[in-house]
Amino acid sequence: MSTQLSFRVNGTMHCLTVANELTLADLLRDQLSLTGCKVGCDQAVCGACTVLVDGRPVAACATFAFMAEAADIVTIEGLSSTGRLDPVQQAFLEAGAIQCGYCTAGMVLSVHALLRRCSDPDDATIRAWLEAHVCRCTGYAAILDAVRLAARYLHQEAA
Amino acid sequence: MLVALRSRRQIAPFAMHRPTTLAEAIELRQAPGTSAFLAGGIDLIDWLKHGHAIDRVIRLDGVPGLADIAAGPNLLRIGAMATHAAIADSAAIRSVLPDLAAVWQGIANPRVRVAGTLGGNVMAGHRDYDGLPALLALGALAELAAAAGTTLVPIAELAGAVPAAFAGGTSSLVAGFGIADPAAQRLHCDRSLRPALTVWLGLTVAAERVTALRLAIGMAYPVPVCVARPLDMDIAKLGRESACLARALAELVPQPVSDGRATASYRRRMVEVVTRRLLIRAGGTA
Repeated sequence: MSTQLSFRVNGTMHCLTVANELTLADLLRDQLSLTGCKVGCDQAVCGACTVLVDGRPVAACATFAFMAEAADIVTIEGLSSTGRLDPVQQAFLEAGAIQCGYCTAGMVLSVHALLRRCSDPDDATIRAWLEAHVCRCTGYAAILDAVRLAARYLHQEAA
Repeated sequence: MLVALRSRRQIAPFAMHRPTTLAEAIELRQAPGTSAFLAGGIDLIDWLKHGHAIDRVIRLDGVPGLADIAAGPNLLRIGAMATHAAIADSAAIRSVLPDLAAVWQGIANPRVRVAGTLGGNVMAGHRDYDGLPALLALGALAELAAAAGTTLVPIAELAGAVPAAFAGGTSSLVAGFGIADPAAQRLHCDRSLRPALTVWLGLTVAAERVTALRLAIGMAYPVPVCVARPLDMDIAKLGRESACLARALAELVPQPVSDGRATASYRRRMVEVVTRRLLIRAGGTA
């Protein structure tokens, strides 16, 4: 039992027939080799599997692949362009907000969505947004610094 | 040997249907075999990962109107497919029942808010979820669509039936929720004691007088409970009368459960303490 679907991933259109029971995380990882989408808790809690679907952060482990019909998906592999890191990626790098790195892709995408929605978030907003992510290395202070830095970079880009 | 109890690899194959009318969705639900409605998918997918097998998944996102939110002077209707994000951001809800929109800003996390729906939250039957106690405190009605037509029932009647929803024990569909006289309703909640309990206080206020109090408790029972009492009190006096009112309301709630999160006696005591805080807050934010 399968479904045919068309969707865009990182700017490339795909038309695939997928098993109904396939999750979006497995579609991205196993069929499109986009392994930046990590699976941690497998129940929409830890945030490692976050991808952007039509600009909104979505838990790919808790989404059926067929629900992505006609969607525009961005994974961590598609965030940078022409060899230049996205400002959020650059900020995470410079702030040292990466330890083991397992949670980083999901966090970067979530923060990217946050800063598109609110260009100058206060600390409470950042913390509330990051509640959706678990870093088992517990390096949260540097992650908060990275979000503030990313907001500054985006302001500079816009100026 | 490691045995996986729960995995996305354990999701059994199923047929997927996407009806375009309520009648079609209900017909699919009543067809022979097992089935489940798919709203945002978060709880259903998690349930399937435990190895439960069903014949059909019935997507509800093709049925028009199920995600609509409409506010009128007499009724606020929230479609069952309205997401938490849509509820939090809804101009219609902000205009008639701003307490609900404000509370919903903090429900779940951003990923769940954009996908999770109010209907799915209620019908998941999870004792920790906030949808049911919030609606109980608001004295909401559930709009049940069945082959024979649509009926409105008090949300409290639905509360006892939700655990059967995934297992195919119901042939009706919760199409939405209604809150009568929305501009007269106030909602205050305290979720700071999660996962021991959440406390939801609903007030009906007319001309600065409180005419009804509803207290709903989540996380402390297998299914959230709600107690109500009529009242005729100036809202500004709620704070002053909070100790008496909180004690009286706490005495009405049934015995909470004792589990690894908290004892029944702790929960009962905290119901009274938190209710008093909420009454003080409600009295100060008339």
